[in-house]
Amino acid sequence: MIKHFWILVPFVGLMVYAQDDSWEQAVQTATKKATASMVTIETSGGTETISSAAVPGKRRPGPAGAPGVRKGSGPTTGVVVSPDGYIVSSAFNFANKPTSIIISTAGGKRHVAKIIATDQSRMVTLLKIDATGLPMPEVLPVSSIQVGQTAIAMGKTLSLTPDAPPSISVGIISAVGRIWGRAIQTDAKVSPVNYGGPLVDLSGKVMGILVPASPQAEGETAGFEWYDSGIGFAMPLEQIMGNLERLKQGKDLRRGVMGITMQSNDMYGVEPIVGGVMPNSPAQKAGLKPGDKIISVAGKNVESHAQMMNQLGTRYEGDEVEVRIKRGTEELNLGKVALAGSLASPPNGTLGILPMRDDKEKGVEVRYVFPETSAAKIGLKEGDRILKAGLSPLQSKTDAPLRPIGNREELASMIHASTVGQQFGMEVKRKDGKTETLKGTLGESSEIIPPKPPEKASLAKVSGADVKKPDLGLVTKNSAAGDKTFLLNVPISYEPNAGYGLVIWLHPTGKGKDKEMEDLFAIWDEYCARYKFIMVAPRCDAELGWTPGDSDAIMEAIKFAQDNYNIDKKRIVLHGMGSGAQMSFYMAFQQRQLIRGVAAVGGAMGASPKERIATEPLAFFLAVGDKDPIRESTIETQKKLLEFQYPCVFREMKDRGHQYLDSPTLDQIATWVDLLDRL
Amino acid sequence: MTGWLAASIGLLAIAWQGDVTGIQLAQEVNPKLVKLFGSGGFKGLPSYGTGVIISQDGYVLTVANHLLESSDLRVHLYDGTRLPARVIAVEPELDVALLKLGTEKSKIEDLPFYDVLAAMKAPLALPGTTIFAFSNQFQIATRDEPMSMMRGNIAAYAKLSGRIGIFEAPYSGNVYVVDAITNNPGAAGGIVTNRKGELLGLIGRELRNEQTDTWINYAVPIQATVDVRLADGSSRKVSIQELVEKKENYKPVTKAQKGSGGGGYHGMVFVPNVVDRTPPYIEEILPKSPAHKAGLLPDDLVVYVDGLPVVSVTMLEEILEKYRPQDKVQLEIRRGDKLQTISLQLEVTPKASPAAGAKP
Amino acid sequence: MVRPALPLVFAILFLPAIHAADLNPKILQMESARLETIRKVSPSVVAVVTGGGSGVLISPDGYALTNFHVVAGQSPTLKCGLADGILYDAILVGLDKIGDVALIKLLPKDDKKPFPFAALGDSDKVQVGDQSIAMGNPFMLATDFTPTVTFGLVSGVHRYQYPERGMFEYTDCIQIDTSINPGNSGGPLFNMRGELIGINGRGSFDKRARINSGVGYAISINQIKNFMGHLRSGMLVDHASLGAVVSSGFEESSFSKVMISGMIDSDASRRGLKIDDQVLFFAGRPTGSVNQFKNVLGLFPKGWRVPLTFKREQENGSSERREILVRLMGYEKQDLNNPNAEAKPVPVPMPKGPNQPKVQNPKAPSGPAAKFYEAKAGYANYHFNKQERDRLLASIGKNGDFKALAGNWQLQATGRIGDKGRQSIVVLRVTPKGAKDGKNDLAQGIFDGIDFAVEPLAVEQSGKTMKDPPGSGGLLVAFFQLRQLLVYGEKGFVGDFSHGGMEPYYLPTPDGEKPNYTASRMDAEVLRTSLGGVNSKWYFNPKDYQLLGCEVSTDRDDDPCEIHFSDYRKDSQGRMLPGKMVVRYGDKEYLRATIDGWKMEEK
Repeated sequence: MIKHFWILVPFVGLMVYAQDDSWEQAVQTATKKATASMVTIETSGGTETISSAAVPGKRRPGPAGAPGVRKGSGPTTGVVVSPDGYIVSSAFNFANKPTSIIISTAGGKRHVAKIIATDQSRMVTLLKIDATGLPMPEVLPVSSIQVGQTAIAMGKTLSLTPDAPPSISVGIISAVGRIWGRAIQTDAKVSPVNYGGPLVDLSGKVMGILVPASPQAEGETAGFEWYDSGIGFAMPLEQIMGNLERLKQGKDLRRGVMGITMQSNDMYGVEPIVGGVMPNSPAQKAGLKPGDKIISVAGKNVESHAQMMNQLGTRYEGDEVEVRIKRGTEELNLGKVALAGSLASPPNGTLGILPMRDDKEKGVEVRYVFPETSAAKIGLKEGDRILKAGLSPLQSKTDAPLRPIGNREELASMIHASTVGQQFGMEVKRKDGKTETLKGTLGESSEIIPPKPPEKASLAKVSGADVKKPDLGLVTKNSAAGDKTFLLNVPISYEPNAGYGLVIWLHPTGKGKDKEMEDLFAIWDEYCARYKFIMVAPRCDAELGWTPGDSDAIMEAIKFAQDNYNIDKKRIVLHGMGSGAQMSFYMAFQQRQLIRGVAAVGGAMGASPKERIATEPLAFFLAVGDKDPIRESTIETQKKLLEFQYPCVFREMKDRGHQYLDSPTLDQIATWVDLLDRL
Repeated sequence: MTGWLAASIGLLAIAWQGDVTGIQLAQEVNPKLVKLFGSGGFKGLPSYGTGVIISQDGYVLTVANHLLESSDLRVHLYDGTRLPARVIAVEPELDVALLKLGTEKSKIEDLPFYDVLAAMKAPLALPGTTIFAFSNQFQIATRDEPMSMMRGNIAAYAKLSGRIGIFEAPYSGNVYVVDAITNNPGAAGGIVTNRKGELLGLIGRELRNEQTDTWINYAVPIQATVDVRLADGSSRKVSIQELVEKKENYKPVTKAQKGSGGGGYHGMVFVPNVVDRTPPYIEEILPKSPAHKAGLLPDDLVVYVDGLPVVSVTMLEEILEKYRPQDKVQLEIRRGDKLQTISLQLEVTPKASPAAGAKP
Repeated sequence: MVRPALPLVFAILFLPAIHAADLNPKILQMESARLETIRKVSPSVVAVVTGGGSGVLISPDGYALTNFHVVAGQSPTLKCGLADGILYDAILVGLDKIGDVALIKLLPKDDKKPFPFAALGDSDKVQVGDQSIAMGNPFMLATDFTPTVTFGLVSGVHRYQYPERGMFEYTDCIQIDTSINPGNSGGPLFNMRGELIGINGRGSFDKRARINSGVGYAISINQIKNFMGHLRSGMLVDHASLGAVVSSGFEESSFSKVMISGMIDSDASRRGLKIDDQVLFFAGRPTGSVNQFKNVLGLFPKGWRVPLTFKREQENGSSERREILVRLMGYEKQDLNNPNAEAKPVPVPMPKGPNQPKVQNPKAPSGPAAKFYEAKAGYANYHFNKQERDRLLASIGKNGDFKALAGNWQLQATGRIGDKGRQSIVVLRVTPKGAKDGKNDLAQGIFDGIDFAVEPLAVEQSGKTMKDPPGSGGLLVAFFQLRQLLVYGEKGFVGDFSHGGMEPYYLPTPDGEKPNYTASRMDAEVLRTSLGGVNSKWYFNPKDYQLLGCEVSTDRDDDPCEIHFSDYRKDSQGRMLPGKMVVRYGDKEYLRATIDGWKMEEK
């Protein structure tokens, strides 16, 4: 009988919408019920723009050179979570760090509010006002939320009159367990009009708190670009209530992480095999090693990185998960691993040398020794060849066991996994053929840029005339989309046996014409030849400037260069100006495994940086004119990067506004790129 | 089993009815709309739009946008007929225009139309009302192809922006904010109806909501009326109804300049307006000033002026500009963690005053 | 009173979340119905991980539809996730570039377990104001492969959306306000009964740079049905053009009509269509505007025959109305001068549509699905053409085995030749190595006492002779080709020998009746062959796999010789042989005869 039934019922659909007012009544009853526990939040002060990754579709650019979300000045919404004055809202609503927050409860009574803490994982903020007996919402448990049921997104921002009804947008539940298991998804229109407000069902119960969110990015503004697109998210109220006591303590909640990177970027198609383990991370403490295959997390079998993320996504700093792995043939249970809050790896140690490139011999030849570095102290000289090396654990008295070093990559991975102050030993073969054993302590990374490091950087054999070379000079390519082209500039002296640095130029908005690109190439030509760089210049939409949507186009350009030329993985750099600089920061953090440096001119960074990953080093060079309107935000950017312990060079150019590099700074940036494979 | 079958068939009958109502709605509304073609096609401004027929002899309401700045205004009727059109009257305050189909000579009659004057008598629709939107967005339809139909709800009935002086929309009255993405290129002048197909309002322009910096979807209610303060200080009501009734004889009002209040003397000196959103903290209170008499103190933070939230010194000064001497102003201020309401009466700026009122 | 009780039954079954008491039963009924529909169809939705798009399963053996622009540029071996959370290997099967459709096939993890799949609906029944459900993987949100479900209205039907850079012309498509975003591409659009009515692929995104702005477009499933036969046989399917330029009469006129404003040499011109004719109906649909005309044209693959009705004004002011059956030519430019040529495999630019696959040049096939791939010019995956072709040949074989009969063939028939009133005797004969030089095969015929002879494979054979007897378009050659097919199969042909997908086949109009193309139309499976510069299409009845007829074309710029066979009977050896035949050439019937006997000797 059921079979009959569902064939017939769907017809009834539009009748209910269009034939009488029962539908409208249902919606109004449900929303009325949820209204009492909603509050209006008004802020004053704070910054005008929340810097962030460029926002697609944003026609009007923000303040000069610093696009990003312009934080509206209008009111926002919150929901009562305990009668004695606790209220939750979307972290987005406070991303501009307002000076004062006023909350109006039902009936229009106003209270001064303060922020207690923020759940950095679900991006929900807890506030407190001085009030009692506030009406509580009825919570709909996650378990009874069904895909397809009606969902109403509510906000209290559009009308100022205290008793005005809330704004509503009606949709359905599109999915559950989104954003790595954290969020409910709805096709109701979600935007700043209702961020922080409730997502309710037809009985007026609250399913969740509306927030912007994205599985690919983090931060208050992540996912904002999807507002009103039918892609909306809410964080389940049931779970927020579960964390309420922890938040009331006043300490932010952070997402729990193990501190590993995976071997492959393929999140779905390959098994989750550990690529890198961050120093002092839970993973390292638990004895996880590169090459281990993760087979289960928290008792759930995982067959891909994505499945692993879906297990970890909902967990917080301090939560414990059982991890089982496969090492070689044996299966190991690592027991309960206590997750860390998104952690910064301590600064890794440095030797203070430049290695020779394209080196076919065993070991690593020293190209240059930076003055006053540990390498200099132990008397390492240019031309020496490092044959063996080893690190001894911190505070250990015993000498490091030396193991043979095959090439630059092997030495690099050893240094990247190290920490400052760690003892090291190495066996070197001097120019005169004598071998010595040297011992020392790894120092901190230095940002000094020597006037002119030795020209000779590569041991590549010059290939014979018979070798067929790819296109040289100025090369124009069609993007896959066919709608855009990108340019390359390859030194005429290109030598296929030598690895070339890749400088990706992201032009300022509206400066993407061939002529403008070629002019820039011209300025760089000399350096491309001297330091062996290839430049590639993708394009963005002339009007919109760079948007996350352009990532594909950029990756495509990079990929083309890698497929057709000999690119040195250690020196792939994004070089951008204005919105191009913005995009450079965004891309660099999105493509950790690929990008090694960002050279930004007159452009501030978007959302705050992601934590350092020792195994995926990333360095920054910020240049800005002293008269550039965004000098301030550039300095702010530098602060943030240093907080996160990223190597960061800052250069201010005298008597310059929002302009490109002056020649000394250009010279420095070019050299800096050449130094990126320093150890 | 047969019993079930019977029941099923019964249901089917009803159900079929049901589906038809939605489709009927489309068929009923579509003939009353026109596809509009005029000037544009530059700077991303579309050269097409939508209009609604309001009389059997071819009067048409649409939005007063760039489209009309054309000597060669054309429409396509629902049946594919192509007609010229001319502008009869424009009311910038309401952002609407009245057109007439055909030339002065041509005789047009018996067009399907909406009786707007009747529609204006209906009460405003409530938030939560199911709405259907019809327009030629993105010029998807030409000739006899039907308009695009969307379903949504009235999200709110509210001012385009709750804030004075900031929002640059020509029309400053209340609108229906809707949760369907109605305000697309070429949709302006289309209509929003309720489930019965009754005319609720005209789809507006493509605008960004200045409070949230997002695109907004709204319709101007057919009952729209605004109070306009005229140059001579008096104020006057303008409404779509008036425009429709007067037709050729309609003359738009000339409105007073923005900020014509000229402000008044209050005696509050605010902290230097350095960053883009300086919170409006009072730095100094001038002796014997209205602020002084009202008991305002340095370090008070002004959070509302006559109920309007103020987020920065800039906005506060813009708002105070609207006032004039002798006006009463009610300020809500934050002192420490307490909120207080203080009202003061503005005065004429004293000649000798060291710092002249709003702008120290 | 059964009826009012139903909603409640439902509420309890599917909506524990909502207290039945709180709500109007009608609402509960609507809610539960929608939930049930979604629950039912979700398992069939595919997350196309390679290419970052969506798809939908349409058969238990794993065939799934997606957009061309999702799989283009990718390796033919793909990875696809289903709502069960499992990642499956999949293989590219067929491509329709202009229509932006791709057919792929998922490989089962367990051969015994059939895939969940969606039932195909009838998109011509969809109307403005209907509700629709879209599912897919926008913005790669489905990290666990469960689809994103969105719900909305049908905003328009029979919409026409211009091609982007000559690709992705969305004809006769469905416009929806149901939210679709980048990544929804290739995903299903369902009606409220859970039937597949379209494939979401495009939207008017201009306003917000690739973010939904309330206007999405789905390729109507009925269009895809027409291409399904071709897609399943692994082709790079080409769309159709009429061989004529149409314009909307006069843009200035107050009413719009569709006029022929240019013609090239084509089947349409041979059927008598001329410049300034007004097209009234095309494939049975009225054509009031150019959009409507393009909508119809977009529904068909190249080579299909569809009726067209036009109106012609005469000098004397009167006007004539005529219906013709037009053989559509290819859409791809290179086909204009070479209607029978295969569409060349083209480099694949991406649309600015919802998705942008990462790389331009297709990557090499790899993984377990690679063994189901075979590259060949003109095909998306030749492996599937061979598979379909061999299945067809096997089925044909059941109607009789002719392999041994490599000797002389003779057919004798009695019937009417051309417009001669009387009955005549017709004899068709093929003699292997029967030519004077003793090398070439010889095809002979006696028509009403007049002898004709052709050496079908002789190089110096003149085009005129190849078309003997005059007025038949090449009946002798056709008979020769038929023998090749039945006796030798693939070995009998040197050029093309492939499955030609599905095409409509029109049975001959009974004597003295007016043609009725709706009544006489049936679907047929097509085998394509070529030998000695002669291209042939063999039409088989998908029910009994009997040969309905063939089109044998000795001259690509002229009409083929069409033979229709009917009235099949078993011969002494149990082979099915036709008892009647009708031969047509262009607009004329050449022969309508009863076959008196077949003589087929062994070597």
